[in-house]
Amino acid sequence: MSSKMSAETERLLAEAMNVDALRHKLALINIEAQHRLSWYRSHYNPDQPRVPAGDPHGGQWTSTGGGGARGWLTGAENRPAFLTTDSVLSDATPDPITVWSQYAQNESDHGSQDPAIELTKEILYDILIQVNGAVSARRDPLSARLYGVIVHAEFARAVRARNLPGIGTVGVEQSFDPDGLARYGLDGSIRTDVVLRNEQRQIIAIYDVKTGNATMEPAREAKIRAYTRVGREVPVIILHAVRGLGSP
Amino acid sequence: MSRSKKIFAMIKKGLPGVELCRDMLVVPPTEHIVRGFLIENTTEKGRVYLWRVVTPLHRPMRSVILDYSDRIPQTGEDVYVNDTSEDSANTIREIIGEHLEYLRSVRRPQDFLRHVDWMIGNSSINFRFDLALTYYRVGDFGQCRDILRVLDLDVDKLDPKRRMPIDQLIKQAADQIESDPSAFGRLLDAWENGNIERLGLLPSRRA
Repeated sequence: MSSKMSAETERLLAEAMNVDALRHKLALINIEAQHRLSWYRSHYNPDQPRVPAGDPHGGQWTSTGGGGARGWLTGAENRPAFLTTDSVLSDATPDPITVWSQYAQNESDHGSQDPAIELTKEILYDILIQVNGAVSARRDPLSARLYGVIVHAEFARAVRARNLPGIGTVGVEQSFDPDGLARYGLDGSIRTDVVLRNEQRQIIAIYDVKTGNATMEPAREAKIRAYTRVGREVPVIILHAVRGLGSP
Repeated sequence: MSRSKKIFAMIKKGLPGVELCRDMLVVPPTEHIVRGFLIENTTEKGRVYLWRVVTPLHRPMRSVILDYSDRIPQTGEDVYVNDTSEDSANTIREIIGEHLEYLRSVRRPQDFLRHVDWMIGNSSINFRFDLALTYYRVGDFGQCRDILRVLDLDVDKLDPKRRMPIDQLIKQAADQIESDPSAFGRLLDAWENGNIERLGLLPSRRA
């Protein structure tokens, strides 16, 4: 290792102890604050049970251990402005699980220890609950495909609006091809829904929204990992949404 | 003609110092780094992402990579381009006008190093490869070779199913710099010239 490299390393370490460390700490505090806000608004209960491992939905949140929705908003007043439409929650609505999250089954090392990844997952989860509730409450008939398109578009808009640490407005709807970050629609490219990065812009988590019965095939996950150049240590987290309104 | 090309053509008329290269508005001269603006379509009708592009041309690419670029405006407001009218052009002209000076300042490889300084420590293969080749361009042969040696080993460790075309380029570069350092520069020149041609950047080659 050259002396120049050592000097560079020392400089980076010094910076890490100062500006970057402070910036990272502030980002974490910010994300924690937003998480707590979402928690408060969504009646989140940290002791809430999860579907046990082995179940097809293993690890996902559940309100009862087997059914029921998590964290439903109690009224339109809690929704962000972009979602306050003519949504009506019916008393007759059943209580299905309509939004849940899970790690991609194929290659992720489950159980990330990085609090930023987990807190971001919670925030995105809450955003998806709100978006899904509002889209599901629409009175105009929507095909399954259109429902999926609208959920994705509104979710992206809501995430951009939050300008979350590590995501900002840039980490939403990014496309990748074998050469790197690319424009949407290029031949052979893939598009991610949300990408979380660290201070050096390195990808540390990928979040993918699936609607209806859509799942992530292993080949798809492998392609996402290959194009984004991430290994098993970077979780690919699926946020599922199915049409329907839950109740608090 | 694509929508972005039409809009950028309108913008170019009233904005000196930029060159239209296919559907990208480029800040000339393009040497080792291409700088400019791109419009990215989205699934939502009329909404686009506008990019402030900074891309080193050191390694072959099929299209302009955006790893070192930013979406603008950085405040995150949605940009809608519903037609190809002068209004759309004005909206975009106003946004990009604020970034021209910065792009003009990222002309040389050493400027690119400054542009990505905050990313140093990013251990992704693509970034380290771009960094290594940039070091070569600024004359730091040792740094370039050191990074390529490590990358060469890292590529070998990759799951073969996850290898990308760039990994082969890394192997080629690592091999070249060890076996025939004097030819390494020619390899990079050939890759760069290929990019210039493939991406239609020739009109921006000269200031």
